[in-house]
Parts: sequence; C-alpha cells; structure tokens
Amino acid sequence: MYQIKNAFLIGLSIMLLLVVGCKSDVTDLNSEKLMKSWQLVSMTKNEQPVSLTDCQQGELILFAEKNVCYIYTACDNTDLRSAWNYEIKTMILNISDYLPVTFYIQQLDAGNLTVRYYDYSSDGKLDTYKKYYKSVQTTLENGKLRLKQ
Amino acid sequence: MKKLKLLAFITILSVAFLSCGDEKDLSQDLAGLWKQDEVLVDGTPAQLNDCEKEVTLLLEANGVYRMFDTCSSMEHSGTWIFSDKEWLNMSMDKITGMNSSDGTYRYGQVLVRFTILNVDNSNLEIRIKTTLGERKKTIQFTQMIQDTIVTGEQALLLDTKNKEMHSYIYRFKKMQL
Repeated sequence: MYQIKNAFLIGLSIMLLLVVGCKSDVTDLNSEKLMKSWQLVSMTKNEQPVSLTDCQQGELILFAEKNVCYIYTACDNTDLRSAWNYEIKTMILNISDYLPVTFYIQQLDAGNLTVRYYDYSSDGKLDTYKKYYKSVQTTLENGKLRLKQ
Repeated sequence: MKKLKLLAFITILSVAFLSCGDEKDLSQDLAGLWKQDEVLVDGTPAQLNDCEKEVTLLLEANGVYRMFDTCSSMEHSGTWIFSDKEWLNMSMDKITGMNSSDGTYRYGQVLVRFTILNVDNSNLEIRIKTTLGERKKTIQFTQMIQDTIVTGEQALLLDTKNKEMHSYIYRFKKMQL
C-alpha cells in the first residue's frame, strides 16, 4: 500500500513538472494602462525632433475594450476603426491598420505614452521614429473620436 | 526505501530535462535587422552587385518582417515564424503577373521555408533548395531579372533551365538597430 502511494506521488510529481516546466509562455497582457485616449504631442526621427503641424498634433488614438481602437487623423480628417493588441513580454503594440509597422512601447504611465517604430525611407535606409503621446479626455460618437471640449 | 526515493528523484530530474530539451526556440536570435552579405548558389559565391549588398531584412519579434530590395527600390513585407528546430518560414512576395498599363509587377504571397544553417548574435545563414524558375519569381531578398522570350527555341531552353534545382544559401550580418 505504502509503495502504491509512493508511486502515485512520484507520478503526480512528474506530471506537475511536465506541466509547469514545459508550458508555453503565456502572453502576459497588461493592457489596462493603455486603454485610454492619447494625443500626439511630439515626434523624433533618428533622435532628431520632427516639427509637427497643428493638425498632426491633433492625432488621437483610443485603445478600447475587445482590442478595438479608434484613430483620428486631423490633417486629412479621417476616422479609423482598427484592432490592437499589446504583448508586455516583447513590449510590442500591434495596430492592424498600421501593420507591417510594429510599435515598441518605450514609456507608458498614467499620463504619457512613447512608442518607437522603424520605417524604410525611399532609398532603403531604416529610420527610427519615436512618437510621444499624452493622455487626454475624448468623446466617441458614431466611431468618431474627438477631444472633449 | 532510500533507493526508491533516489530513483524517483533521478526520474523526475531526467523527465524534466528531457521533456523540455527539444524546444529550443531560435525566434529571439532571429529577430533583428540583418544585412545581406553573401549568396552561395550550389556552394559557389554569387557575384553580388552594390545594391544587392545593401539589402536589409528586419525580422520583428511579433512575427512581421520587412525587407528593402535596394535593386528595385521596393519594400516587401510579410510574416515569419520559426518552427521544427531549424526552419524559418516566411510569407514572401511572388510575381504573379504584370500590369500592362504601367509595366509594374503584380505580387501574391507564398510560403517559403528556409533551413537555418546558423544563427547567432552576428550571423544568419539560411538555405533553400528550389528551382531557378521559382527563385526568379519569388522575391528572395532581391528581385531577379525576369525572362523575356523572343523565339520558341529560347522558350524551350529557358523552360529547361528554370526547372533545374539549385541550392541557395543566404548569409546575413546583424546590424545595430
């Protein structure tokens, strides 16, 4: 009886080790900090400031529930409904409409969001961009994201 | 009793090590910016022109890749995934036709599977065995000059050549991002 109990314990230990030791890395999503509205305030290209026009600074993005995001680009007055996900392990933020551009979150706190991404210039040089956003209050009506007055 | 405990301990350790041993994921090593350095065709180094030496491949950690073919000044993108211990699977652009209005090519995406011969902090070496015809149509980092057929005899000759199997080895150097 004692030996059967031991064998059972050994078997259980092996099972536990297999489950714990070999489970695939679970994507650790900690998206709550992101889930708000952000307004573009500044930008750099290869660490050099890029001057933004007023309308460029009007770019808004809201990361909403169910991985839906709303983007407003003021310059061409377009509203976009897209999908997003954030993987904390790699710090990668994917926005489906912007793919293949991949965003790496550099800073994320209650009031600020900084993302870095890479883009090829027309001559094949890979440039590094950083976009700086601040947290803002917005309204969302009929898929149109606007600054709260 | 002590023997039983020792046996159990060794068994647990062995299982823990053996069961995880086959799962070395090279994805982290593969991610990054790579610059084409050398191409071997059937083991012989191919003569790369200046633009071919500037071709870069950006493998991002989310499984998206982007590359810039400096010879045609075109960016191509797709997805990549590491699998089965040694494979780099990429969805790559393949020429499917030509737009008669402006002479530009139309592309579709196909799965291309490379065997990873070596990957470390500074080098990436991948190999594919394919026909010359497939290589011409698929944008394997640079777009090859496409066939222009003038006579029936030429077409026959090209068809034979395009069906020949070759081994292509691409060597890349890692770049600082």
